[in-house]
Amino acid sequence: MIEHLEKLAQTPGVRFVLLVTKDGVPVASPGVDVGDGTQEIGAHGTVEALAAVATGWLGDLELAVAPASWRAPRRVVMDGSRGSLLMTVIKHSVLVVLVSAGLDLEPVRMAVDGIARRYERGSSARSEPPGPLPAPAFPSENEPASQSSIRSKSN
Amino acid sequence: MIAKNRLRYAKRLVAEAPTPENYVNLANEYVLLGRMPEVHGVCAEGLGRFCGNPQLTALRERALRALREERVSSLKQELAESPRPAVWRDLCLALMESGKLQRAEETALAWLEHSPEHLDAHVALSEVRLERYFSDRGREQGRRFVKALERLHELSPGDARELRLRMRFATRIGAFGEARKAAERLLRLAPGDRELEAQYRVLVERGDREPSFERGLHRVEQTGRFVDDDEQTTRNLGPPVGDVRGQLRSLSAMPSVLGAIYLRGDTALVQGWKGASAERMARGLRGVMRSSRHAARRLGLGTIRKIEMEGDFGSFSVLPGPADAGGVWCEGRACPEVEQKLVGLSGIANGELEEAA
Repeated sequence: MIEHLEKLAQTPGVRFVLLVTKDGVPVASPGVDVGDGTQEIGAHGTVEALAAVATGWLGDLELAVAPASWRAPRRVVMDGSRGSLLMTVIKHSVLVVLVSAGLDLEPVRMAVDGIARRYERGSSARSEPPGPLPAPAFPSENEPASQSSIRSKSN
Repeated sequence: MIAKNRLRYAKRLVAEAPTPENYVNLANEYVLLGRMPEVHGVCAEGLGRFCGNPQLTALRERALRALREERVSSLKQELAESPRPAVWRDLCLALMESGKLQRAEETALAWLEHSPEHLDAHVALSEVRLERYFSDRGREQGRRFVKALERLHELSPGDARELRLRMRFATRIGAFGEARKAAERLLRLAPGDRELEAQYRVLVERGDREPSFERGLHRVEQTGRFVDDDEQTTRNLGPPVGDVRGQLRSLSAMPSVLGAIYLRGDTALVQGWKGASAERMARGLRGVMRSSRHAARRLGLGTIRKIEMEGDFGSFSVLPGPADAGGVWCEGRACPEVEQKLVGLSGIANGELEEAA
């Protein structure tokens, strides 16, 4: 995962990349020791502060759209005059990306989508048990048993 | 040896065909050699020809960051060997330029601890706190700046640096009465300063609106905008565009659009939702705006231009104007035509809505 984050951090215009849990605990960031939450990142404060503000905002948005019977947003983008914030929910984590002002967000979006897909595919393959054995062909009520077994063979 | 050959080749390529790719290539060669001043020079030259190129911009930012880091570490070393006011001051400025405002404040406080009565240390602390407030826009940061400023005033009443900081702060938060008083005192110190005279005239024209700092701080925290932000946006808005209802109707009639909403103060116009759902949607949009302004302020993202949300519900795009906001709910992502219509919708400042309300 960290390799993908490093690649994303090298995309032109990307200022900072951070993977956090949904409750705002920093997990990983290229080139930053997330264990030292007091490390300052430009004008955005510390890593911990960024994680807390970003996930807090996501929670607020979730609450704001809940009365409309909408589920929590999967991706949110805030475009500001001094930079942009892009957040994508990946399983139980949130990928937070800060982008410089005035740059096209589309390449960053695509890179983030790629990471999300890869991560979700990887984690689902790890977490799901192996698939079941082929189901035995049970005869249906209006079908004789012999016909059913022939069909299952031909399949 | 190989690196030098590659550098020579990259230089030749730029001379023969000065394309953005060749400039990026040459800058990268300098990066590999760790020659950051040259990286900055090449990027600046390339950006002079190809303004706004994202790769060159990113490389130049990276070079600048590295140069600033280098300067900060050399100043720290110098400070450890010989702590002098000039070095303390330079370190504070270098950290502020790097955007590391928290570390800059810590440095200013360390300087104050080292020499508590030094006036420059108090000035540095006030400057850093002012920058932190401008970046944060929160009332608490503003109060911390005011506290530092008052201490500076006690130590040296009528100091020009204190008055300049006071004027800058008061003008941005809209406390024009305080700003005018500071400008008057500055003019007594430097009579004939044309720039100052012009600023004073503007402040006199504005009158004594928002007389106290506290009211100004409260207003900025509520809206997330400084006075000059508002003026800039209003200037960019141009003349009012059409009527709100008509625009809202045509927006919601577009294919893939499921609903559209326009908000101004306590009034909301909604298309696509009815009854209680419409009210809930208006409340939701207000919630989105409030929390987004708070987050943008905390993260130093400046004035919000657009908010987008995507999920199982489709997408919801919000465009906040200076006094209003427009939102559109689409099946998938909003297409450029829809976004263009939304731009037309938000920021409409005519009397239509008041009549409708």
